[in-house]
Amino acid sequence: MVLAGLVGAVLRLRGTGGKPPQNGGWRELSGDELR
Amino acid sequence: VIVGVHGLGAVGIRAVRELVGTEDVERVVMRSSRPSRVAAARESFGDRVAEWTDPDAPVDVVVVATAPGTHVDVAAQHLAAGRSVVSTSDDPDDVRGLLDLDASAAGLTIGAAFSPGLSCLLVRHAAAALEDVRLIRVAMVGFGGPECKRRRAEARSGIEPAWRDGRWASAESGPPELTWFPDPVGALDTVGGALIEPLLLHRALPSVPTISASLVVPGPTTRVTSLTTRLPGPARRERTSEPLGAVRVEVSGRRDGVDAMLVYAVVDRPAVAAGAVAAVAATRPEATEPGVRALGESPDVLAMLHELARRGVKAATFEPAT
Repeated sequence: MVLAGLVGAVLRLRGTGGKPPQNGGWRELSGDELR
Repeated sequence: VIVGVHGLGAVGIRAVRELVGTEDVERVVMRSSRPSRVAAARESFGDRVAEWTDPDAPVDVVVVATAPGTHVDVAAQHLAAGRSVVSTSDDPDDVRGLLDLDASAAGLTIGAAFSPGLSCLLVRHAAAALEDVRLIRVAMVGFGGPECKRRRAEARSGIEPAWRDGRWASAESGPPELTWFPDPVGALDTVGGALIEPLLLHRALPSVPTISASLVVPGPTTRVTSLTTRLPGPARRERTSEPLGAVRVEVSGRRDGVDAMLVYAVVDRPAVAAGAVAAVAATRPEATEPGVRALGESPDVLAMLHELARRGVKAATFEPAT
């Protein structure tokens, strides 16, 4: 019970929303994309 | 052009650094309430800069980089003297006051920093690639200097309205949400409502029904690494102990008839990037055209992003795997 409470507290502290990107990645915009 | 820099804090001194290397800038003059900072800048940049002592000196554009909360009065003084102004303030009260100033005789560019500033340029760039833009989300982490950090820490109580479904609505602080910035910043909790971007972006993109912004508030559970980023911008310039910051924008609309979302971001030291943004804004032709405008209303956003990239402030886009 105490452990569940602690986990719940951490989740509240760290936030509940947000879905991590499942795949893909960051790529620098090329010069052609800024013309 | 002759450019003045008023205020030599973390952002102002970076603006001087960027301006002295700009081809079109004939001269840079500096004004600060702290003489030691003027002396240090003169030592660093030599005869390419000068102290701004003559109030009647012919200055075309002034980058105002004084403390948050002072920009309205400082800008009004320069505008009254016929000098165009570029403000770097992220203070919501400053921004609202600046929007009300009379700039019928000289130009006034508002929000020319990291956030707002770079954030608005990224949004405009993304929006230009979409049709029927429905949603804009801005998130940022970082601070430009000690004064900015203090303000960010206070931002928990400074809730700015968001533009939701075509009207201004009180932002709900709500629970934090994880936002994924590029490495090495990574995922951090952001809370809504503390940034002025919705107000400025609504001016630039009035037909977009929903514009919100969220911020990583400095605290014991948030930490930004100062490791060199994998993006090349900050790495090739000055190395300092200042932590990295990031701006990330999501713009949703339609492209080629289907729903689409573009995600752009920049990881950089906020004061360094803000100085570059201010310098680029001050040397744009529209900077001296009479009228009040947010940086995000600029007619040629691409040219500014291109110039910023040349100066090392590089944007990235998130690409889903195909």
